[in-house]
Parts: sequence; C-alpha cells; structure tokens
Amino acid sequence: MIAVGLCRAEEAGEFDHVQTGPLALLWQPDGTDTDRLDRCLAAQEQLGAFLPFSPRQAPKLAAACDWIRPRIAALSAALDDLAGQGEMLVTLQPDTTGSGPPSSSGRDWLRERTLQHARLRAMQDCLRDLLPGAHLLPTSPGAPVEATVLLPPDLMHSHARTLHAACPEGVDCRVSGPWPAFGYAAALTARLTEPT
Amino acid sequence: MTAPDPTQDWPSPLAEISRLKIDPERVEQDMARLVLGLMEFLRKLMELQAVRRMDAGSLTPEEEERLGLTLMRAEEALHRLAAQFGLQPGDLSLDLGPLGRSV
Amino acid sequence: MPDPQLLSPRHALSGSDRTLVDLVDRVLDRGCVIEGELWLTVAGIDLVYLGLKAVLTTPDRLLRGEA
Repeated sequence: MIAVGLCRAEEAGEFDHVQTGPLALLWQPDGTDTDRLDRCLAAQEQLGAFLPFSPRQAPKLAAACDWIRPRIAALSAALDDLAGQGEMLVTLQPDTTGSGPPSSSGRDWLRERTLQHARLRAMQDCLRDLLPGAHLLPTSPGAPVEATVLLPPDLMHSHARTLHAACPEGVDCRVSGPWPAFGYAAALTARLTEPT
Repeated sequence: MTAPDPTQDWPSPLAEISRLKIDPERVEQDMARLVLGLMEFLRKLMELQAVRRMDAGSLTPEEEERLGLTLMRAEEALHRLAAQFGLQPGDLSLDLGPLGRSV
Repeated sequence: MPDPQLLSPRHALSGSDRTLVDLVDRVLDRGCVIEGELWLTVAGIDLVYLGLKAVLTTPDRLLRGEA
C-alpha cells in the first residue's frame, strides 16, 4: 500500500485512509505513478484541504505513518494553510510554431533565438510583478519558465486572463490549476525531514 | 545526493530516479533516443551559451555568423536524424531525475 | 464551462517538460558541480545505473580561475 497524501481526519470519508490523530493518511493499492497522480487530483477536487505526496516518490504506508507521527502539529498547521487553496502553475516558453521562414543567415538565426530569450525574460518580470508570492522554479534563459503559486481556485481564472493579456507575441503562456499543492508539499516535507 | 536505492521506503524529496527503457522490440529506436538525446543535450547547451554571448556583445559579426550557421545546421541535422528513427524533437529530452521534471 | 485560459490539471497533464539542460545552463553562469542519475532499463530490467557528476564552467570563467 502506497501513501498518496494527508487530509483532516473528518474529511477523509470515502477515500481509503488510516487515521493518525487529527490527520488521515490516504493510501491506495500499489499502482503506477499515474494512478497515484489521479488519486491526488481527485483528493484535491473533493477535499477542503489536501497535502499531497509526490506521485513519483510516494512512500509505503508504514513508512509514511512513522514519518507523520512525530510531525502531527506541523502537518496540521500545513493543512490549515492549504484549506480552500490549490496551486496554479504558469509555464512560459518561446513559441516556435509561429516563427516565420527559415533564417537565411546564421546571424539572423542567432539573433532570432536571442530575441526569443529576451521576450521570455520580459514575461518572467511581468509574472513576478503580478504574483509576488509566486515561487519561480529554477530555470535559465531559453528554458520554459515555470512558477507555482498557492491560490483559492476562484482567483485563478482572473489571474490567467491577466497573464494571457500581458503575454507578448512569440511567447507561449500556459496556465493550469488548481493542482494539488505539490510545490508547497515538497518544500514542507524537505524542511520537516532535515536531520535536526 | 541519495544512494541509488530504488527500493527505499522514504526517499528524500529529490531522490527520484528516472528510467530510460530499452525495449527488445524497438532496440534501434531506443538506442537512437539515448545517443541523439545526449547530442541534443550538448547542442542546446551550446545554443544557450551562444545566446548569452550575444547578450554580452562579446562576438564579432563574423563569429555571430559562423556560430549561428553551425548551430542552425546542427539543429536541422539532429532533427533529420531523429526523424529517420521515427523520433520527434520532443522525444530527445532525457529525463535525468533530480534535475529533471518536478512533478 | 471550461476556461480556455486556465487549463484543468487533467487537461494539462500532457504538458511541458523541464530538462537537465535547462538547469545546467543556469549553473553555467557560475560554474558548479552538478549530479544527475538515470537507470538504463533493458527489456524491463534495471541494468545500468548512470551517475553523472560533472564540473561545468565556461572558457572565460576557467581562464579567470573562477571555476
């Protein structure tokens, strides 16, 4: 049995779970990463507060129980933080589909690539201004820029509209959500797992 | 970095390890993906570094032309090779685990 | 009604990749040790573990002794 995440005991309801104090640890039979991701999405959709484990590295049930027991207070506080919220994911990358005819010279080609990267940087600045609380994932010029931000799902629609409106030509902007709080959870579990 | 033990019960948040699968039914394609993936990795690295040099203004016009032309042809060549093995450019990103995808 | 500007997670799942090369380029700015790992799985069997460890830097930094 593999653990998929945590919620408040009183909300666990129909999900397979074991209770640990005020928390419920959701689990499912061994399956693929995709099965676990699916279960995380369902939990995010149906529960008031859900702290997911990464589907690709979810712990076995027994190990997860041992890990949770000494950390119940911190994990309960995290669920309070997460109540009514999900993660919005913003991905920005150069839009190469709309690029014109192939460059005739090497210089033109290199300049076009340089421009692409500059546009992306500009959009990244715009993202920072709009959502100061966003966590920008490590990236580099030319790579997709990804940012996660914890928000109530209702707000995501208006932020998505604003981002799309601000997006310059030549940049592909994808906004998705509400995701389970994978980014928040990864940072939290790393912090709580550090040797003291 | 965590020891490569895929059976551990509670890996650290960064300890996931990816798999590149070489399947007996499609050996050629899988091997091509491995080799071309490494080539694409190096090509992208060169392109990104060239862009950085452009931004810094440290290249002469001749260097810009030579560098751009070489990188452009390298990209075309790599995509052509990939197509011969039935691979899309997107198939060439090797996922090396801790530094790769986040979700 | 679906919002075309906000993809639902299930819809977005075929989405974008973030790959090693992006991170390597970022660290190239300073010159840094990176590590990556990968299992080569042959016919369904984990056969070779590749641990990659490299010190990467660019020529200008190498010459200035900043690597």
